[in-house]
Amino acid sequence: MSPHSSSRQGLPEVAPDPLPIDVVDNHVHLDIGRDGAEPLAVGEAIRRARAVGVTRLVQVGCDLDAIEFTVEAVDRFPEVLGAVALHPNEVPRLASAGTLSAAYDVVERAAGHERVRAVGETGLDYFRTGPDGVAVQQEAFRWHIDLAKRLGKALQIHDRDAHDDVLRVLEEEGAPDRTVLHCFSGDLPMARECVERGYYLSFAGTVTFKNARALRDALSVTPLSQVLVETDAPYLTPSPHRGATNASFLVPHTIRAMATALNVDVPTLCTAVSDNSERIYGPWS
Amino acid sequence: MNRRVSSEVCRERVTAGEYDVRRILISRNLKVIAGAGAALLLTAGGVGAAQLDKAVNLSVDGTSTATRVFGSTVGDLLESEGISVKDGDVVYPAVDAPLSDGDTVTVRYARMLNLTVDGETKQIRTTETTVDAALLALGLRTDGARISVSRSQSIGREGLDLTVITPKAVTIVADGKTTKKTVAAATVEEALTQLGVDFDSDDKVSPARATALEAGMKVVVKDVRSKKSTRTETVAHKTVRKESADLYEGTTKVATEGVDGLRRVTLRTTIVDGKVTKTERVSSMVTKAPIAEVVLVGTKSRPTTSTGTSSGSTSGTGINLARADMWDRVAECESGGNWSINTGNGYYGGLQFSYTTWLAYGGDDFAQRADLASRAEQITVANRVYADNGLAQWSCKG
Repeated sequence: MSPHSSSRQGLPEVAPDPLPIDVVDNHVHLDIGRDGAEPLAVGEAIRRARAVGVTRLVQVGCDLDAIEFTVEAVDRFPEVLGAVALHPNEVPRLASAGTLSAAYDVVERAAGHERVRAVGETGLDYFRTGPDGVAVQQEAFRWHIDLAKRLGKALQIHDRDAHDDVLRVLEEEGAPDRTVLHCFSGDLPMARECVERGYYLSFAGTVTFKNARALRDALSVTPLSQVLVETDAPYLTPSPHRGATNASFLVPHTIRAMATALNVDVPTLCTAVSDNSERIYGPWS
Repeated sequence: MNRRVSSEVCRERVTAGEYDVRRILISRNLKVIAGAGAALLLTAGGVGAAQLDKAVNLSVDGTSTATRVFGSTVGDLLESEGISVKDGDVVYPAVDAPLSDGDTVTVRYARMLNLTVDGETKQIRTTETTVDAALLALGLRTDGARISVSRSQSIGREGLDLTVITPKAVTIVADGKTTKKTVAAATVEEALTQLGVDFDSDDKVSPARATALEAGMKVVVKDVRSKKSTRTETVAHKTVRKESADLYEGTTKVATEGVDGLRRVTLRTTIVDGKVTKTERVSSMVTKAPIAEVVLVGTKSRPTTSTGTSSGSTSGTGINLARADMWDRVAECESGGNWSINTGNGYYGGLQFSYTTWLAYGGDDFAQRADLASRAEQITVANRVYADNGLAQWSCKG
């Protein structure tokens, strides 16, 4: 038997065992490659994911190119629904170039597409954006919240090192009925707060990392009715492939780690994730 | 979580040896082009003579066979062995992986379990070939659970129906004692049977015995017994008044003495946990019929004296209908307005005179007992009592 160990770089060769019940990867960037490599072709990404029980995806486009890609993808592939927004790190750049309001028009038009079911990812990122960008980020966040409510779409939130302000702005504006904290990174008290507010918590490969105990604690207080799974591919690859390129077919690793943290069996978690996703984004076909 | 793709990245070309499945390509000017083609397998670049004939091990659902194959990939081996795989099947190494001499290729087919856990059914995919392994792989906690098939039962490719009943901690209250038990049962009734709690069809079980058992449930069994008994009651006789021309007006005579009858009554007593909660009459039967009393009432006119009073009535038997309305109300209350009632309770007539009161106030001017006298006569006597004591004698005050 020849060795087929996964390389740290590039896509893992070994697929995990299929999930017992089909699930949804509710946050993936099919258009983004990594480490200088091309992204997997969309059809191939879908085929590999489907083979292990990840049958439906939400493609997230959060810059102008990616938004156009997203609209094309949702038109072509029944397995793909879309989310569109201007990423919080994209906003200061557009604002300084004076093209922010033109970009808003693009987002609003794309968000009206029948198979674009969410506005996102939007939110706050104080990790990449300095104090000078905060005001415009918050302004854009408020605009996206309002857009989601006007169009009756779900909201996918990006929150990096900005937990308090994200919760505050959501409270001030009034969150849409279906609000998802994409790649949840808060601690246990924040998880409790979000659960109480009725938000959905979406967990990525980070929940499988050895040092992510705080994240698993947060997951453990999340009711099954508010839990989601995502890859954020090509980033945040779950253990045991941490560091390699991520793809939707690696979701089973994350699901199995989540089931352990939640102390439920895998079929129960898969059913919950699938049901929650369809409740938030509507039917795929 | 946040990485941008720079718009300069060109995602355009298909290089030789890449997958040619449906592909979205974005050119520099962001036009999206859909690639056609559906070939799934890799076309290997540069096939060498060294790949002609390989000895490999093929393991399908745990059964290994040694085989030889021409071809360069796992997919070639599967094709030559007539093995087709679909979503959910596991192939290791991957279908498009290169094949070398001495490799082992593992195929595990997916099968569907129709799994019902505590009444909830799910279609579940597994590549495991035994029940035990599947339950383990699914992370289903089955310690102490009851499973509809043997744990070592194999799961064929056609799948398997499987029912699992998980153990649940419940509180049982029976015979006045509260105990905590863990039991793998689907319903309340099954739990009681398994725990050896005695109950019969009369006993009250709550929640109802067909209720699905849930963890933390409190099941209360109340011992319900019923007892039958009989007792004898008297049946009061009736009184019938008959007019008689042989007797003077205002006089009566008992023609037939009334005799009370008897009836046997069957009762059912309900006893819950030793306490009587209810007594009901189930049936009754008259064992001795009562004999009605027959009273003759005179209608013959009294002879009048030639120089009699103008009123024609004797002073001793003068009718006094004063307060008649009040007496009617008293009678309504005392006897339901039945002026000829005799229940055998020692009180007689509409106003329920005792025998002694009736005689003391000259009731025998009219009849032997009050119930044998007319309404007007009873009111007349009542007015005499009233003159002495008001309504003190009556519990009903009109």
